[in-house]
Amino acid sequence: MPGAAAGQISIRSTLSTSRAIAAYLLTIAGGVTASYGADAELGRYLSSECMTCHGAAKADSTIPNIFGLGQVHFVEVLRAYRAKALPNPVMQTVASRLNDEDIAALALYFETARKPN
Amino acid sequence: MTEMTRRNFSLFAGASLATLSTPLFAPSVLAQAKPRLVVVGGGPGGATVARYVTKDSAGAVDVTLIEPLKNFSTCFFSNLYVGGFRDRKSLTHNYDNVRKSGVNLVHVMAGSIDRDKKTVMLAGGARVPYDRLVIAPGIDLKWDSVPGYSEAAAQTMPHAWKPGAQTELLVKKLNALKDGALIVMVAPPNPFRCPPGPYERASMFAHVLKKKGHKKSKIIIVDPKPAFSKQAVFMEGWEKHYPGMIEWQDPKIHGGIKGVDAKTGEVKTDFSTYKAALANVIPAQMAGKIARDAGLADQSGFCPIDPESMKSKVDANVFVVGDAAIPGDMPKSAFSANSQAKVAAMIIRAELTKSRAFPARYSNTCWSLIAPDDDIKIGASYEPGEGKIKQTTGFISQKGEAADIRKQNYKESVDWYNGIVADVFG
Repeated sequence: MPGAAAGQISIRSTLSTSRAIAAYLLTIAGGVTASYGADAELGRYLSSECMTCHGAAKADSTIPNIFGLGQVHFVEVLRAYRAKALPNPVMQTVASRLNDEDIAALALYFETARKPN
Repeated sequence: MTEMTRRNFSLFAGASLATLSTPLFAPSVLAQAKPRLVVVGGGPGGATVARYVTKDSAGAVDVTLIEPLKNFSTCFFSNLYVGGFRDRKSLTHNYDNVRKSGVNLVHVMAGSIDRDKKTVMLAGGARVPYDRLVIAPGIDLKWDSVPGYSEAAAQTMPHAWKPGAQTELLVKKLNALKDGALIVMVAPPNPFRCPPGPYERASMFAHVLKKKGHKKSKIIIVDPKPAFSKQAVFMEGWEKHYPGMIEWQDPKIHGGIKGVDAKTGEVKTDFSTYKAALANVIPAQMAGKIARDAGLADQSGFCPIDPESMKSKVDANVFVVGDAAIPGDMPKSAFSANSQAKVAAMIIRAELTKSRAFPARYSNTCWSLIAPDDDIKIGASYEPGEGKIKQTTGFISQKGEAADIRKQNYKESVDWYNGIVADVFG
């Protein structure tokens, strides 16, 4: 998720969302609330695409560490990339083919998976 | 000939079985009852498949990786070594963590494949049987695609399109140039490894010459292609950072590449004969020999694959990933190889452990450095379609972008490098 570090700041400042508000927005938008019904096996497979860039992320990386990211926030950021509300074209391209089920599956995976090394 | 089993494996290869996920003294019948994956080639394609199948099958598949090198130098980012942005050590990686993950490492050259007997023959004569085979040998060079060029000529006119000694030779020659020198690059025809690579390399040549204070040196690229990857942004960058230093000639300008002479340093085209102080000749390419000898390549020299799985179109038990494959719309790159490897690993894991498979998805991004903190990128997503791996969406850097975007691209590329080598080598 290149640029997500900046993106996290951006989405907070521009959308003024908190986790609770984001969760509410997902619910009223008919989105997949992260934990319920998310497909863990699908998330594990889809996560392999993320690992090419995010697997070695450090605190000062332009490509952020996404392991342990809360599901609601994860969903929020990926949806923002999909909508091109966040700027990085790599992540816009990655997110463009993810449907809500894919995003929920990834969010579940990364909240619980351990970062390698 | 001997059949390589778990029982004699460590004696032959010097591998430590203590790190395998299976207990060391497990009855061989149990070990042999496991389905066997053999991977030939430990680069970004092969090593990724080996690691992912091992990890995702939780040790249920016996995975053997055959790679002669104990330390792998990445071709990707080698241009940054040419430009002085990276040292050699930072591009070299061992297989310690691949081994620790549970993969059997065999540091021996694979000699041939007997597809009827589902066996890989090692250079020493040992046989390694498989249930599924992944071939990831990378490229071989078509020496005679440039008249006068040969493996011997490469000692004078380096290609440096495979990492290691050739890259060292290129850097040595580059650093020895005096002001007023002429560098001539013979660019390769499509398809070839790393489409933006020759043009990033020319940028790194120019950076080194500029840094050394050269005022009169020149770089001429004679190209058999009418266009190249990220051309508009490369050419804009060349004019910005190295005005007048880099000249790109397409076939309409040079009229045809007639040949090279390693003894005189000459590069001949229809238009002119250039006497180069440094000639960098990058010939046409094809799949690695072992894949061609196994009958996996078509008349193009590369291996056709099923876009849903990365399976060879000529053998359902064999997968081809990375530069040796015909990847449809995907470029030949480390990123592509790593992406293709994950599709192959998922299918192999599903077939060998009777577990769940998912639709194939692929992606790629290539970053190229033009000058310090001026980095451009191109990327795309791909899925099976129209009988090939088809691009579904993508992006490319634009002319006139702000300096902070280009600087961010460079930082991102460095972070990507750290990410992908961790993904490949653990």
